[in-house]
Amino acid sequence: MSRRIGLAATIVLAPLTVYALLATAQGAPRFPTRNECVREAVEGQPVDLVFARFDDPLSAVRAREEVVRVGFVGTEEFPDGCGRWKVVLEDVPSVEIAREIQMEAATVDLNPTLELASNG
Amino acid sequence: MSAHALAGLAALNAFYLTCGLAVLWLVRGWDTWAQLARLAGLAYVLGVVAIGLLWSLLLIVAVPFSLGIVVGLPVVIAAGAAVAARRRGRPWPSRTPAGSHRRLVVTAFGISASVLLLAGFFRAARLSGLYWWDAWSFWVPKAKAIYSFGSLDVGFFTTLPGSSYPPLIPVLDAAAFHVMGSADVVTLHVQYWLFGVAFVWALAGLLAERVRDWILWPFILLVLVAPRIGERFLVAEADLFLDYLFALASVLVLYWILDRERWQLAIAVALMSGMVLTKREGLLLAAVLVGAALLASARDWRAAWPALGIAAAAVAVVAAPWRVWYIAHGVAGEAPTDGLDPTANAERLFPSFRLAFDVLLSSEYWSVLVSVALGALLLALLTRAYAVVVYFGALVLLVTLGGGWITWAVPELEITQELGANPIVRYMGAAALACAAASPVLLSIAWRAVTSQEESS
Repeated sequence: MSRRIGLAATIVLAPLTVYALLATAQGAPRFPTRNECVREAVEGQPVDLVFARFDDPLSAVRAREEVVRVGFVGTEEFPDGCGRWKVVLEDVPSVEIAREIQMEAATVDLNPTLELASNG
Repeated sequence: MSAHALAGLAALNAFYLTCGLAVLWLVRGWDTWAQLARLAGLAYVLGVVAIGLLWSLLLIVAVPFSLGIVVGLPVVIAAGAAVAARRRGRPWPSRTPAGSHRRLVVTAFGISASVLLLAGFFRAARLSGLYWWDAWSFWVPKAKAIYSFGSLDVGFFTTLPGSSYPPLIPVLDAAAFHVMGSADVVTLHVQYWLFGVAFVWALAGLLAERVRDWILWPFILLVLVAPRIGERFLVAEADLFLDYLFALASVLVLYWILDRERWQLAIAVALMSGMVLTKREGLLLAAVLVGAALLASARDWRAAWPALGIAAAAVAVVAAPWRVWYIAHGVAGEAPTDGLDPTANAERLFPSFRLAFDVLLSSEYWSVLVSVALGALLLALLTRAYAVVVYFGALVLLVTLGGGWITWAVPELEITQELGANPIVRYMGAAALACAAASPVLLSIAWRAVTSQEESS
């Protein structure tokens, strides 16, 4: 490789390497995951009962209709903020009440999870 | 989510690049690997536009937009173009001759500074939220609808703001969603960053063949640091993408006026076709481009004007299907209601055009890009490079007059630079990027004239 090509490569790569080292000096870069939109329920805070998550809105609509059909009126589908759609019964007042609803859902083969209310 | 999405986006953009390289190989061929590297940015933009155009047209005629189409179409285009290129006898690129490494060091400094700035923009783009009004109110929702339903949902597309805006940008966004595996509106900003990187690469690559590197790179860096340009590389809207296509097409059309090589006009037509399917203003800007070319080639009109007429007709054919679609679905058209009647809204006439010129000359938006271009025009005029001066002068003037016309003819627009009340600042970005492309060319012409005079004396 000629000296000029080597010099040119150094001029391009050296500052970039230094920049990368400085940028990562305070820790590796973050790569958020979808799980960051799943927040655990907290005692004393309102709770969302999430029946399912889907990648497309049409599947979420069908699932929501089924959940409402078996009696969980007020269940809706929303984007969850991480590119998925969730079927959710929002703003249950407490964790205790949410657990009762969860047990009731199990009797019709539904398994919602408890999450911190998205408005909380 | 983010790492997986980045990998998918990288694959999609590799498709764009491969497709563009194959098409460029077919229409012009490659002499050396260095030339291929230099024009890879243009190839990428060409790939984005060519594939995006076809996706848009397929969507308009109700072909379902699926992951299969997203992956399959670029593969078919790239393979077809490569086979056609070989059949046409296009050779593989050869090694770069040793003597051409002399300018490497100056170019290396330019690349180094540009890469550092772009790296900073990337870090912002990778984790950016969807903050900009137009992005979250209609551009990205349209993309989500195409991604989720695989079609131009009539209810959605006819009721969202900007319902007559063409679908190219939402289609490109929807393709990104498919390869990312979800409607990841955060990582989507990296796609826009890539468009910006490709524009810088394409502009530098195109200008490098005629502009000395020590003249070229300061202008590349100026584009990156101009307030309304570099910082907006990651914004998920169509304005800057339209300006990229306009600036690159303007350089190609100039080169065609000077060289008359068919591939230059062919690629310019592809980029102009992308413009008319990007935003409503794309039609006006394409017309401005053709108008400036007609003026600059007036001395040789018998040879030049028929080719420009065919180019304009080709762009009009591409523009037609979308117009038919939204008119058929009851969406109001794009032309201002009072059109060209000078007696309508007469009190707005002078203030509207003054507003356009104020925005053009504002350093708050464009730094010194425009003022330097005006000086470069004057210097080039002194060297009697009339074709180039007329071309760029007419281009910037017509874009500005077009901006004034829009404000004058649409009474609902306030005569203000405020972004929410008037799109004039968004629109005038095209003029600013045209100035960024013009200045290095004009200054190079002036420099060559001065140095050749010194040598002869």
